[in-house]
Amino acid sequence: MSSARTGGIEASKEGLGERARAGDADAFGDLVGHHRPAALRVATVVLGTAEGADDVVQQATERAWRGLASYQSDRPFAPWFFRIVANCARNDRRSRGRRARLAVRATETGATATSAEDAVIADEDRRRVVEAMNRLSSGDRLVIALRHFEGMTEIDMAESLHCRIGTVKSRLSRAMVRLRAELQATEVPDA
Amino acid sequence: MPEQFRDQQLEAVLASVGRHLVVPTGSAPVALGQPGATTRRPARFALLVAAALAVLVLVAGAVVTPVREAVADWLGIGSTSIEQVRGPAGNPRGLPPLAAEAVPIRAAAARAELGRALPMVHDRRLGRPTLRALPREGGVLMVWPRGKTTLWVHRDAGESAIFVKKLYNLQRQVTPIRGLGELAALIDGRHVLETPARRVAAGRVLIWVAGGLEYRLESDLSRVAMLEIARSVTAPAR
Repeated sequence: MSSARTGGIEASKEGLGERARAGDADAFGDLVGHHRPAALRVATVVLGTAEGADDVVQQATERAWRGLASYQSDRPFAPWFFRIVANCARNDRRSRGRRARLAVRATETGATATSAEDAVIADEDRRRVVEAMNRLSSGDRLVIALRHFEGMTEIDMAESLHCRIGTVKSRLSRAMVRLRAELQATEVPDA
Repeated sequence: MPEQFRDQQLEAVLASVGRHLVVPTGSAPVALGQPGATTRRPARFALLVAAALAVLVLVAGAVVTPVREAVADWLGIGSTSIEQVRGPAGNPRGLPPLAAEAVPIRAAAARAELGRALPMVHDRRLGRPTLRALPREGGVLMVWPRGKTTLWVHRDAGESAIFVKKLYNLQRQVTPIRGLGELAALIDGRHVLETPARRVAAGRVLIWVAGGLEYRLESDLSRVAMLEIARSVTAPAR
């Protein structure tokens, strides 16, 4: 089970959520700034490319600011914000009808791994998986990313995806089945 | 042959992919107005929209051509999410239509609801709507007897306002449409419209986003007729 990535500022603990909802731009900026790296990943995954992800996050930020009335400040900020990011990305013309081109950075020679897990995972394995993800739908990529990139719980995923928890489970299960199928399809048989 | 990933291995690799995913770097300036107010879109976005509109103008005159591309099992049009589901979730049997419980309103009330004058439909086969009404979900619903046609218009306030789902069962039931508004799709056949308030039955529906408004045209008329009606819609500037 991957570790959660949503550490750090939690809107409910710091009171940032309440202040942001009350119109405190600094508090809102702190929240958005903290979640920006993850928001860029979500936008990139749905778009299928890093190109334009920053525009999407900017647009989502503006929409979130305008729509703060719908944010429940006693809930984590990330699921609500990522839902807006995902919707903006889905509606972006760059996400329509194009094959995904997600990419991963290679580990630099001699560089220290970012985590103990990364130290034992080969660049080739990451490349295989991301290429398989590129052949999935944006919906499948998103549900996989929310669970495995961002470490979100099913409850938070349900909020981001605006569906029931049972639907989250089934969508994630189907997405993983399709991912495995794509991974198997790329395997080269022995000579 | 590359080793197949066991479950835990695949999860670990996925987490690692997330940490190594190539994304844009650097921070973007965020200019915010008052919360809840409509802000001007960044100039760059306006240029993109203008460019897209320019392309549409160049190909205008041709019949709006549905794009027969593969539709993912999940599509978003403004604040409407279109999802393929299995079983009863997508079965509209026994559900009321959207117009059920809608309250008739006058033009002034319609203007107040939308924040501007009501869009006009210039299609001769429909004529003037016989009814303007306020559905439970907000926005304005216009009704014509011809083809049991309704046009639901509401503000494109994104995710903070209405967030509705169109749930359908059959594959290939949804067709993205190019050349209509900023984004459009046709949903063929009976399906379910799920709103925060209720579930309603829906037939053939064309939805699109344009000029800060979201449109939902439902009718028994043909697809071509619906596209022509949609193209005839004009909305006054804000």
